Amino acid sequence: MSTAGLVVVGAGLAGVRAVEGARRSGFTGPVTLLGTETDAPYDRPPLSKAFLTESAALKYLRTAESLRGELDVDLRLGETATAVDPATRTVTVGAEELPYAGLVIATGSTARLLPGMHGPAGVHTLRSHADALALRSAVRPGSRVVVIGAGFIGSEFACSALHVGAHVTVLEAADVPLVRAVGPAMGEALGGLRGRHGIDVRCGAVVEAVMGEDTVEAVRLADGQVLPADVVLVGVGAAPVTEWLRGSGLTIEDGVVCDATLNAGAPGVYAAGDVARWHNPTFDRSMRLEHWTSAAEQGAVAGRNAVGTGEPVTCDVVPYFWSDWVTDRIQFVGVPESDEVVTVAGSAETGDLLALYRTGDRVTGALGVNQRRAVLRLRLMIGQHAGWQEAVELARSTTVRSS
Amino acid sequence: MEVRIDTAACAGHGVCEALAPHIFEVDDEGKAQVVAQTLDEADRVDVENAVNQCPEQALRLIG
Ligand SMILES: Cc1cc2nc3c(=O)[nH]c(=O)nc-3n(C[C@H](O)[C@H](O)[C@H](O)COP(=O)(O)OP(=O)(O)OC[C@H]3O[C@@H](n4cnc5c(N)ncnc54)[C@H](O)[C@@H]3O)c2cc1C
Ligand code: SF4
Repeated sequence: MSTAGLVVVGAGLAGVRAVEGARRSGFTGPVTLLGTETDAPYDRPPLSKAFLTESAALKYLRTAESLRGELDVDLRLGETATAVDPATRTVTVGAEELPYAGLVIATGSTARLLPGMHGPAGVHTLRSHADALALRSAVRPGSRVVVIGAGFIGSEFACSALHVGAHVTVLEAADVPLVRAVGPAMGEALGGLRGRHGIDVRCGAVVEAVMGEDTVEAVRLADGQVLPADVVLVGVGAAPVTEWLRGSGLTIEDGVVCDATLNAGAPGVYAAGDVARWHNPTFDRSMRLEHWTSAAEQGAVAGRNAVGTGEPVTCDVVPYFWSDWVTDRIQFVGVPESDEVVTVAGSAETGDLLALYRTGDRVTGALGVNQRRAVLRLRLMIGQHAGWQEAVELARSTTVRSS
Repeated sequence: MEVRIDTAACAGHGVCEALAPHIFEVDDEGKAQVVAQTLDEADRVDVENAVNQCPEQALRLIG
């Protein structure tokens, strides 16, 4: 390639949105999208939900034809970038040094592993299409499934496995699950929702070993208990994919460190999605999110800023994620750290919980179970720095009650 | 210019309403509806944003 254009590394959600954002801002130069996986960019959330429970087909974000044809992208699937040199403005791909004028790092995250526990067949993680296919064929009615980690992926998978008729046990090392995501009080409250779905969660359960030679047979806990297992899912969180950036000179601190415009500290270099740790102006602090909507929002901003067709714009985000436990939808907006959490309506057991998070005299977060309308109104209010009283009144007037 | 909502696919995330409250509103059933009486060129960017950011790919811009 003679002229350097936009290079996007990582053909996931953020990468696709970056390409779209660049084109929508009027950029007509060359665009290259590199992706390790051989599938066209696809959607991950269904992989722990309908893909397992309804054998749903893989949902593409955009087909290869549409990327190549409509957006004129040089889509290179099955290719992995191994280094970046901001001085020469090149990305290393195999033996090739690919020049860039603008670069978007969108390499996402990978499932964390438990050292020494991934040897035997039947021990899985859940991040990719391939992972979900393997789990879909492994989990059968009557299978004994042990889930290590009661985070959102582990909880969704547990619900889905139960739904297809497996026997499921969830092990959680902490005393209360989901603290990092929703705070301690609501982590506890969501335990009620697990009860509603009949999921057996053992908190404070430390896994010592996964037993079995070729195939997994059981999981042994630190207290000596042995749980027989045909399938083990390790759901202990995700780590940003930054290993390949070692030596680039970019600052990496649990993610690629970026300013409010998602610039990674070198000219033309931006990051977006699960891999980006950026200064979020809405909360005036640095954060890294692993959520669908922020990956999409960041991708669009990074793509536009990287091609420099206008002034760089900041990326202002009110974090939002959802999690579907078969029929129950949990939604969280804002940030979990707060001075106080107040339950405004319902409870997790009855499937109609709404709780607000207060910081000073502002509303800074909200958690809902099947409270879609209220949660999305609250997302807007949080973005507008709305006052606490106003939020409580709105919440009271828009909640629904389970019947 | 017209925007179509695939009501079966819409899962009520309300991203559309957050981006363009004058165009979209999520109803009590958790489904998005178009509330704008008419759409004109000035709305194009807002609608495009919503189409692109909808997590369920439930929105389509025609024209
Ligand atoms: C099973 C599952 C369920 C989820 N459910 C929800 C949910 O309900 N709600 C929610 O808000 N979020 C959910 N998420 C999170 C959401 O899917 C992620 O936040 C989102 O996918 C992040 O997008 P991304 O583009 O940053 O990263 P990714 O989707 O991880 O994409 C990054 C891509 O880059 C590729 N790549 C990595 N390194 C390189 C390299 N060096 N060169 C080339 N390519 C590379 C990877 O192979 C990958 O395809 C879920 C995630 C999973 C896995
Ligand atoms: S963003 Fe999409 S899924 Fe969400 S309410 Fe709007 S149309 Fe429905």
